[in-house]
Amino acid sequence: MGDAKITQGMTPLSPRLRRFYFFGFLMVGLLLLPLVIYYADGWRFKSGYGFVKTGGIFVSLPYSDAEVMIDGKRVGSSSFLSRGLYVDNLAPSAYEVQVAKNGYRPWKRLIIVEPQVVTDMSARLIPETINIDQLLITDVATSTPHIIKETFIAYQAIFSAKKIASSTIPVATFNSVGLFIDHGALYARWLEKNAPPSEFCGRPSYCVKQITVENGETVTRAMFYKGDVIYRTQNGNIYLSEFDARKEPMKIVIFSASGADISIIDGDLIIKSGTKLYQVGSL
Amino acid sequence: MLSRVIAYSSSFWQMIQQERPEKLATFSSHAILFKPLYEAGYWQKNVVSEDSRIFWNLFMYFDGDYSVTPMAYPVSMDANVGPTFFTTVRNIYKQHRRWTYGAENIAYILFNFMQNPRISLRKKLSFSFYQIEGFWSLTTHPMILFFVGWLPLWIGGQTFNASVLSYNLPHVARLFLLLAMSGLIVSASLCMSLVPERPKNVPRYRSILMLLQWLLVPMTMVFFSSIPGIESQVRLLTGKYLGFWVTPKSRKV
Repeated sequence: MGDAKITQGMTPLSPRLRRFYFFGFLMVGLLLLPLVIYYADGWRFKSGYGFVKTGGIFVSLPYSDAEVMIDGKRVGSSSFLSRGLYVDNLAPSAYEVQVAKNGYRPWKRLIIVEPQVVTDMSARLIPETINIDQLLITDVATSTPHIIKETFIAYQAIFSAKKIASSTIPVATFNSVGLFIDHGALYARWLEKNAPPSEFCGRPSYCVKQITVENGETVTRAMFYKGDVIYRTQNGNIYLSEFDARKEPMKIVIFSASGADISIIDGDLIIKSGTKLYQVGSL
Repeated sequence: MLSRVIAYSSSFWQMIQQERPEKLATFSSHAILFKPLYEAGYWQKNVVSEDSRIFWNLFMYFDGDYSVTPMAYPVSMDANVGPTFFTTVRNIYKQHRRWTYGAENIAYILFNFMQNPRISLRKKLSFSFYQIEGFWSLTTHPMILFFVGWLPLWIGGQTFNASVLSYNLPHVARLFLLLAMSGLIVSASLCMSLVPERPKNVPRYRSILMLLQWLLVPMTMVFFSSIPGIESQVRLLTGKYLGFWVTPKSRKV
């Protein structure tokens, strides 16, 4: 340190120059701020229309590599890290959102985009082939589709238990949504006092508390399975259905046999038809 | 690496401060003429931040006619390194808690400003602002920057969370923070120009680590500026005062 020199009077930037920089950047900030706020709030310039308030959509995707299309035009896809896709800059209007993935049935929804609001939805991808395996009795405990006789008998007993259907008592609840069977029709009802989720909203600004899931065939049993509705009708049809006020909720027959019944046992969807039991996999 | 980047951050901040001497109070490495020191009755031995308090002692004694002159002079200090990683982290935390405990000067400054009519109002207002704003921003801004993108979503409520603004806010905040990260690139470049040439026996990846260490700054600012700063100020608020804690120094060769 002996040869170190003290440079006294080291000259910092002059106060005038510093003021110039400070106020210069302050001006840039003040000019940018409203532009950024308006941009973040959905304002965009559209040729021929001037400045318009746009909206957006957010699609939750259950798997990676699922492609999202809006009105037939690809807008993005899910990945290993991202299971949701946000699309902004959409002029207020009706759009058809489609989701496709190899090996799964295409999913679509007709949604309405409103200004400065994001319309959200959860795409449900059902495999093209639904595996339904008969549960067979075996002497030693093993993995399904083989079960021991005692388990088989216990499963049968679950099916014979009676369920009360009523217009005021839900037959099943999931995430504050209740399923009600009333005179053979099936309804999904929002049970909370606050605003319901987007499934109950035909458009973001118009929501209802109750959606009809089935009003054609007579429903005799219903339950939630992985967020969707599984129900049995008097005709022996077993349906997997979404509940959504927007068109068109997916509804597929997964099993059909006179007298067929359904139950969820240990997290598995089990179908009883006559004396036989079946396990529904890969939904 | 952690200790080094924090030490660099502190050094760079002090270098920036040299550019605006009108805001400066002494801190850490400084020299004082013996005559004014003698006249003011030396320094206080009953405070932790005696290196900055001495400035305020003299500032009050000379009725505001006292200032810091930055000097370009090489000083050498060891980064805060303990024998183990955990000890290093603990020591850095305690060292920064002591530094941020400098907020104890605010009460001294304000009290003396009220008692001393000979100091100009302009000086009183500007120094009060610099000190209060400095300690406030030191503790709150890293937290605000860390959470600014997500905070509205947590507290915004259902209606706000369905708005385009709530979806765009994290993206806009990320863009601004990325732009602000250019400051880190400048810091990293300056850092590389300051370090001595890499000795031949030191592998090349160590130089790369010296660049990458700057990626830790958003995290170090929260854990080693903001949190110890909040602890210091809460201690002052609640009367759980700190004693002086000497940073143990050791060298890894």
